[in-house]
Amino acid sequence: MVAHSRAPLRTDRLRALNVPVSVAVDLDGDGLPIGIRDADHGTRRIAAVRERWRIDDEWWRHPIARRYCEVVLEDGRRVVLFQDLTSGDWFTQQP
Amino acid sequence: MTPSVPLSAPGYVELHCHSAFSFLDGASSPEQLALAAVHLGYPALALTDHNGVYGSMAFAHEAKQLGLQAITGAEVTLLDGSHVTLLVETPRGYANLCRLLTEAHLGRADRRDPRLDFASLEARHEGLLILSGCRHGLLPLALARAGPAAARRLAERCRAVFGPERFFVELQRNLVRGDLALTRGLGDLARDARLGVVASGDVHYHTRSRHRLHDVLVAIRHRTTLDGSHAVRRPNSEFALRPPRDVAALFADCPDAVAMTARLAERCATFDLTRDLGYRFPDFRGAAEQRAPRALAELCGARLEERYPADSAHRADATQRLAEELRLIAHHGLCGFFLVYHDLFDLARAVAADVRRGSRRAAGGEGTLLPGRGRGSSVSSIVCYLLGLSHVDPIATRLFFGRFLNETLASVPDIDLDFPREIREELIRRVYRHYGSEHVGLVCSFPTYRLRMAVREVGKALDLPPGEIEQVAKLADRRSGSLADELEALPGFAGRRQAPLWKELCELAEEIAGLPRHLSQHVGGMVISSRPLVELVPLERAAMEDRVVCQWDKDSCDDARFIKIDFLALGMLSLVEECVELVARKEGRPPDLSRIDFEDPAVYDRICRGDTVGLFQIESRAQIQMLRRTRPRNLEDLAVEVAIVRPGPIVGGAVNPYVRRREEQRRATRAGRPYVPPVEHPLLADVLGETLGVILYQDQVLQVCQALAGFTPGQAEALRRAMSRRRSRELMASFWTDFQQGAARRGVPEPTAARVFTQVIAFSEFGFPKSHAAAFGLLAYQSAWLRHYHPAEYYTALFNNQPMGFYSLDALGRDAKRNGVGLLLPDLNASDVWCTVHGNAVRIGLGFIREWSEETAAAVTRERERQGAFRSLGDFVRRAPPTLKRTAIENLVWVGGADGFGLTRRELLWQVGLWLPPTAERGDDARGRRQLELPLNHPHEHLPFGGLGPDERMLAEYAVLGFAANGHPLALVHDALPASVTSSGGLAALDHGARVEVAGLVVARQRPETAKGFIFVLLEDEAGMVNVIVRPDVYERHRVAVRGEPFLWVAGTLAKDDGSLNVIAAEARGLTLSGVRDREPPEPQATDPRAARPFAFLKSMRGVAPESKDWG
Repeated sequence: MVAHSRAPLRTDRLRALNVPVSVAVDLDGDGLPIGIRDADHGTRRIAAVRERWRIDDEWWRHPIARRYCEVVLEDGRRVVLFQDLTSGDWFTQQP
Repeated sequence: MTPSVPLSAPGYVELHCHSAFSFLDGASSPEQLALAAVHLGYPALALTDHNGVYGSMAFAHEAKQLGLQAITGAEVTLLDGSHVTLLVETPRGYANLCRLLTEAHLGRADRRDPRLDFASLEARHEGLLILSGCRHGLLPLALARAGPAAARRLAERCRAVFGPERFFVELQRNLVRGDLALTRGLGDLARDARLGVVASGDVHYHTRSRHRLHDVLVAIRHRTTLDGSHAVRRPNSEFALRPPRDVAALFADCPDAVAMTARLAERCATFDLTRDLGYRFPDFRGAAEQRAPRALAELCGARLEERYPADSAHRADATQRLAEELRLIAHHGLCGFFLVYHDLFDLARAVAADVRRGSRRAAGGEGTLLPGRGRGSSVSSIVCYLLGLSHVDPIATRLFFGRFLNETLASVPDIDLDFPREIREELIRRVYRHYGSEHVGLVCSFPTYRLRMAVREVGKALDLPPGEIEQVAKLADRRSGSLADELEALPGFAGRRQAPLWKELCELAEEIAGLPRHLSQHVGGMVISSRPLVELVPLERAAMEDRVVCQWDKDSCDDARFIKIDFLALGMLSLVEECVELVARKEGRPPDLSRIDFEDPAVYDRICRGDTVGLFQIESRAQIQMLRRTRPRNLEDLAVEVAIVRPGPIVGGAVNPYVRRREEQRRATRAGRPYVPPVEHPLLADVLGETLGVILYQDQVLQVCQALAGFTPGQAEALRRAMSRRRSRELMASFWTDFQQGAARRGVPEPTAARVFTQVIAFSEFGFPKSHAAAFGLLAYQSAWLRHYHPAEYYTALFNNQPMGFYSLDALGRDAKRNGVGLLLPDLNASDVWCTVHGNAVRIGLGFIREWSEETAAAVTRERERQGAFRSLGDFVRRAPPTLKRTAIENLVWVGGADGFGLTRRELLWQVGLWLPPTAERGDDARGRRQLELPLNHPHEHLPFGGLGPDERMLAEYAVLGFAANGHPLALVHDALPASVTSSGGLAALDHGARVEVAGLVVARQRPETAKGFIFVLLEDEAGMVNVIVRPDVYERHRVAVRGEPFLWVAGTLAKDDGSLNVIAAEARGLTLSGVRDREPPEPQATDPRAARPFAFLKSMRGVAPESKDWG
C-alpha cells in the first residue's frame, strides 16, 4: 500500500539502479576500446564505437571527469563504457 | 575502426574561437589565445566573438607581434536564435560585417539581444566566408526543429544565394554526446547539397583548466550558482584551443574538413585589420581638400592679428610658429580635421547660447566665457589657440609643440575638450544630428573584473555564504598579491585558503581578474569619420538613451588611428560658470575671468597656507601638504603644483629635489644671487631648467630623449605611447637599448643615461603634459580668485555642482563656515530648487532634501510663485504636488523647512501624521489630500510638543541632507571625549615627536599606488582637519577600524615638517566615549549645545555619518 505522506523516508531501503560495474577494457593504438573483460561475461569483443563523449563536472565538489563510449558488441548488444579519468578505471553502465 | 591520422595530414587552423569579449562566455583574453595558438603551432587563428569585433583590433595587433595570422570574424545570432560564423576575406567583407553587426544591434528593441535578419546577410555578403555555425547553428537547428528534408532545402538555398565558394557546412567535435551522429548527418547534408565541409573547435578558452572559469561565467550570466546552471553549462572541458593534431585525429574519418580550414585561412590572409581599415580623417564638410589649407590659413591669420598685434612682444615668434604648424598640418593632410574642430566649437557656442538662454551669459560680449576649453597637448598648438580651442597662449607660456604634432606623426593628435556638464550633454546630441548618426560614434569602454566584483560574482556562483562573501569583498585590498594571501590576513578567515570552495574562489578570482565583463560607454570620447563609421567599426546602443557607441575602446580606436575627440564634462567649469552668473546677478555685471590679476598676493597667500578646500586640483590632502612646501606665487608655479602631485614625478623621484631646489632658489633670490639649477648632464640644462632640473611634465620626457639620446620626435612619441598603454610595457626594454646607444654617441656616461632613463620610465605612471597642467593651473587660480572675492557665490555654486572634488558636502560646509559663509537650512518659503545666495550665506535648496526630486521641488516653487507663500503646514499639504510623499514632507519638517510657521518640529510632524495616511497606504496619498478640500478641524490638531535637542537636529540633518548645516558632531560630545584627546587646533603647539591622541570624523581615506602600502586618513573635528598616516604594519593590525569606522580614535606620534602636521598612527580604533552620564533631556528653550545622551548620539551618528571619499 502507499505509505502516508508523513511516513519517514527509509533511505536504507532504497536500491540504486544501473550501478556502474567495474570492468577491464582492451584498447587499440588510438586509445579506443576493442574488448571488454569481466568476471560475469569473460571477454567480449567490440564491433563498433557508435559514439564518444566526455563529462567534466562537479569540479568544485568531487570532480567527475569521465570519457564515455557507446559501443556495439559482437552479439549486437549496446553497452556504454566509461573511464574515470582520475583513477583510470573502466566501468560499464546500461545506456 | 577509425583510421589513424596520417603523419602528413594537412594542418588544421582554428576558425571558430571566442575570447572574453564574448562577454560572460569566453574565458580567456585575446592575448592569451594568441599566445596559446603560437605555442601549439597554429599558423593562424580566427577570432569570432558573439555579435561583435570588440577585441579584434587588439587581437590583430597582438597576433602580428607574435607572427600569427589573425583572421577577423564574428559569430552572429539570427532572428530565430540560430548562429552563423562569418569570416572576413576582403576589405569589402569587413565593411559588410560591420554593417551587419550594426544592424543586428541597432535594429532591435532590446539592446542586449542583438539579432540579424537572414535576409540582410543574403543581401550583403560580398567578401565574407559563411560557416553554418555551432550546435546552435543554422543547419543543426534546422535539422533538429524541422528534420533532414527541411535542412537540406535550407542548405541548397544557401548554396544558391552565397555560392559553394562562400558557404560551408561547419562540423564540430568536442566529445559532446551526439556530436558524431550530428556531424555525420551534417556531412551527408553537405554531400547532398554539394557544399564543402570545414572543421572547427568552438573554442571558448585557451587551455583546458580554464573550463572551470568558463562554467562560472555561464553561472554568472544566468544569475545562478554552478549547481543551478547544470542545464546550461557545457558538459566537458573540450572547448579549449586543442593541439592541431588532436583535432585532426577527431576528424580522421573526414580529412577534407580539416584541409578546408587551411584553405579558408589562406583566403583570409589578404585582409589585415591593422593595415586595411581604410579610415580617412574627417573632411571639412566635404569641401575639396585644396580649399581647406587656405581656409585654415586665412582663419588663423586673421586671429593672429587680434591676439598678437604688430607691437606685441611675441608677434615674431607667433608668426614663425604659425607658419611651421600650418606646414606640418598641411603635410599630414589635417587641415580639414582642424576645421572640423573649429566647426565643433561653433556648434558648442550655439549649444551654449541655447542652454544659457535667458541668463546674462547668453548676451555675449566681453567676459563671456567660451563654452569649453582645450586640455592636453593640444593646448600647446598656436593653431588651436587662434581657433579658440585653447585658452592658453603657447608662445607666452613657452609650450612645446612636438608632443602634439611632429614630422612623423606616430599617432594622430588628440584633442580633449572640457565643457560644463549641461553643455556637454546637449553638444553630444547636436554632433550626432550635425554629422549624421552613420558618421559619429562614442568610444566604448570595457569594465573589467577587479577583486571586489570578482569575489562577489565568483563567490555567488560557488554558493558561498553571502555574508562572508561581502565581508571579504569589502575588506580585501585591491592591489594585494593574491586573494589567498588576503584571506590569511583577514580576521576570521585565516586557514580558509585551502578550504573547499574558498580555494576555488582564490584561484578563479586570479583567472578572472582583468577580463572584460560587459560593454559600457567611455567618459566622453567620440569618433567622427568622413567615411560612414558603420563600415569601419560596428555601432550599438549604449545604456544611455540616444547614445550609440562603437565596439572599440580608446586603445583600439588609437590603434585604428581614428580621430577621437574627448568631450569631457568638467564639474569645475560648470561651477565657475554658475558662480560668475551669481556674481553678475548681485553686481550687475559678470567678472571677466580672462582679465583678473593673475598675481594677486592675497589669493596666493591663502593658497600657500593650504587654505584650498573646494578649489580645483589643489585641494587634496597631498596637494595641501605640497603647497606649503612649494609656495606657488604665479601661474607657472601653479602649473608645477598641478603636475607635481602625480605618480609620474613621485615615482621618478622628482618631488623632493624640486622642493629643495625651490627653497634654494628663494634664498638665492633674496640674497640677490642668480640660481642655476643642477642637472644630470649639461645637455639637459635647456629642457629642465624651468623645472629646476627635474622632469615634471610629460612633454619633458620627449625633450629629454631628444636632447640626451638624440631620439627623433617620432621615436620619442612612440616611447610615450608605449608608456601610456596597459598592453605595451614590454616594449620599453627595447627603448632602453636605443636610448643607451644614442646617449653614448653624445658622450653621456652610462650611469647618467641609466638614471635619466629611470626617471623617463617613471612617467609610464601618469604625468601631465605642461600644456595640460597650465590649463588646469589657470582654472585652479580662477577658482581661488572667485572664492576669495565672492565667497558666498562660490560656495553656493560649489554646493550646486556636486559631486566633484575631494571632499563631501559635509566637509565643504564646515570649510565655508571657516571662511565666513554660513549655511541656512532649507526653508519652504525661502528656498529655491537649488542653493541660492542669501546675504553672506548659502540657502540650501529644496532639491537637497532626501526624497525630494528636482521636479517636485520645482513644482513646489512654481506653486509658491503662483499663489503666494505657504501660510501653514496644512496649506502646504493641500497645495503640494501629489508626487510629494508623506516621508518627503516629514523630511522637510525634520530639517526645519517649516520652522517659519511658528510651531516646533514635533508639533509639525504631528500635524503631518494627522492629515496624511501612513506610507503603507501610499496610493491613497493623493486622495487623502483631496479630502482636505473639505473644512476639517481635527480635535487633536493643536497638541503642544517640545522642540528637538541639538543632537536630534544634527542627526536629522545628516539623515535628511547628508551633511550638517551648523557645527560638527564632535562638538556635541566634547565633554565625553577621552580626556587625552587633543583637538586639531591644539596640535601646532606640541613638539615634533610628541605622543598624541586625536579623534574625528573620517573625511577621506587614500591609498595611493605610489605610497608602498601606506594609508592616509583625513580626520575632521570641530576645530579643523588632521592628517593621519597609517603604516602598513599598523594597518594590518587595525584594518577593520581604519577601513570601516566613520569616527576614528588614533594614538601616535606627531610629525612636524615644513609647515605641515601629520600624526603617525600607532593604534587606531573606532571612537568610544569615556564615562559621562546622560543628563535629563533639555527643555525646549534650553540653549545647551551639548548632546544630552552622548553615547546614544554617537551610536546614531555612526549610522548616518556621510561616507568618506575613498581613493585607491
